[in-house]
Amino acid sequence: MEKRVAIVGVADKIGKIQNNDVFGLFTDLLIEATKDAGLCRDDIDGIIATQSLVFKHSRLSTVLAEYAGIRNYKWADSVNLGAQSHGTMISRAASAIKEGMADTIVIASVDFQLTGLTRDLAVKAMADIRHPEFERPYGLFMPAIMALKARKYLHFYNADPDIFPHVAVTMRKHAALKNENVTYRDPITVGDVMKSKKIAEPLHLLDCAPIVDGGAVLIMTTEERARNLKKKPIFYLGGGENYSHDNFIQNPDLLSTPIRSSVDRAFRRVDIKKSDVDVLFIHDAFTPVVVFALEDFGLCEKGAGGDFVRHGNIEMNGAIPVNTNGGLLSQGHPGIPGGLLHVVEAVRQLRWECGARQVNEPKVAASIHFGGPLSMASTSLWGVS
Amino acid sequence: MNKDLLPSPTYYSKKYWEGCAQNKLLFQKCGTCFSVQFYPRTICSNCWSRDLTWCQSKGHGEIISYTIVHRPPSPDFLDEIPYVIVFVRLDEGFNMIGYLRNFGSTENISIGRMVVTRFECITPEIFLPVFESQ
Repeated sequence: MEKRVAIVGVADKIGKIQNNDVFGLFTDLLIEATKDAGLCRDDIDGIIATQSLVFKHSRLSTVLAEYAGIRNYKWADSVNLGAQSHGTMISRAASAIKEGMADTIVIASVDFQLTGLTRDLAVKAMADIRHPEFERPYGLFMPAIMALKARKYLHFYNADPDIFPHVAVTMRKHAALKNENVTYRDPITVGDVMKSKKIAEPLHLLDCAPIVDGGAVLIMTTEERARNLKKKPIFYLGGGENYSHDNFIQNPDLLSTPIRSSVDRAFRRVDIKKSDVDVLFIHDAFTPVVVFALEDFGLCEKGAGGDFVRHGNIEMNGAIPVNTNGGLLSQGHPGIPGGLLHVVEAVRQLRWECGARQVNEPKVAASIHFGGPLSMASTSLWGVS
Repeated sequence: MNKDLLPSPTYYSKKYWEGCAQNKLLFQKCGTCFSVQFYPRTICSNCWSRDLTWCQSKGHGEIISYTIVHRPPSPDFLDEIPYVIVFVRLDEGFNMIGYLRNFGSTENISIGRMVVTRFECITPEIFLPVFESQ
């Protein structure tokens, strides 16, 4: 039988974080995650991390490990696939453990876009990676890219423009159930979103996740070791990735996303069905992504994602609660680390540790990540058994 | 335009920018598989042939989608806002983005509308293709 791996320790933090940096926060989170697992530093023999916009380094994982005093470990990797890195990091770490390359691997993503860059510079940094000849001179950046997809969607499906604001309203409802690690908790209405500052039409300010500092650390290990630790092990059941293109102008179809193939590939590798998923996490950097992902996950037909949200299906007591942590839209968006915070919440939901925002006894969770101008995606599946 | 944003032609995109400076929109066509491609490359991304020919587009296309940007990515675009970015399918079968100019009121912008290319002089070497209504 194939070896199995599980997440045994998690930690995350979000907000305007003073007097700290990428290294300090990583170490704080690492200490918390090892405590959560009941492990000590010497148990760690591998690390994988993804890029930071503040501290640009091609070997971020090994610099982080050095700072935290992890030495002579067996395996390291750095994944630079933007916000899509998380599904990839999880899958690479799982493969390394299954191959016996390492036993207990730290998976990390930390950034300081708010205090280290400021919101304006973080937005600019994301625009700087657009194609220098055929995109950047036209002021193309992520909100405009998402707006181009959203506009096409509204036109093609003759959908009501309020479908995207409904996503923001739902995320805020979830955020209100949190007391810490949350940026915005006050309730908002669809009207509030529609009246907020226009960013790139049809998107308004509240359709875009607010940039904050933050990060997450997870510890993955073998099933044998996981069974003897403090917390209920949360198993990585499998995942799928899909890479369609990179520059926005190469987008083959504004109405499709690479999420669908990543979902299908993930489910082909596991013996659970989509209907087994109790709680879903979507990289909600912008409201339209949630609508697209719900459709690509197969929860509703193309064009029906907006009504699916409007009818409360992704709320706490809905058919499939989505982003119970308040999402990047309300919890706050630390940039690249955002998706890993979703995985931390998925683990806590499956451990039934979420208090007021606990979904009723979930057994399976899925996390969907995307990177670039929605040009690549990954889906990771998690279970209690 | 801020010089950091100014396109720097590569040895294989140079021809494209030279075309723009003469009010010509150029794209590549493969002599082996006959597919068209944009942006320019050293090989055909469809069949890896190096038999590429530069062709001149009529500059006519259809708006696939558009957005009106109010909050720009950086202060470099403050003079432009609000600006309209259109994603256009050219008649010859390739896609580009560009600014939409001279559209009158925003009510005149719609998906499916036909547009035509025009070139804006940024520097003596760089003429930026943009679109306006046909």
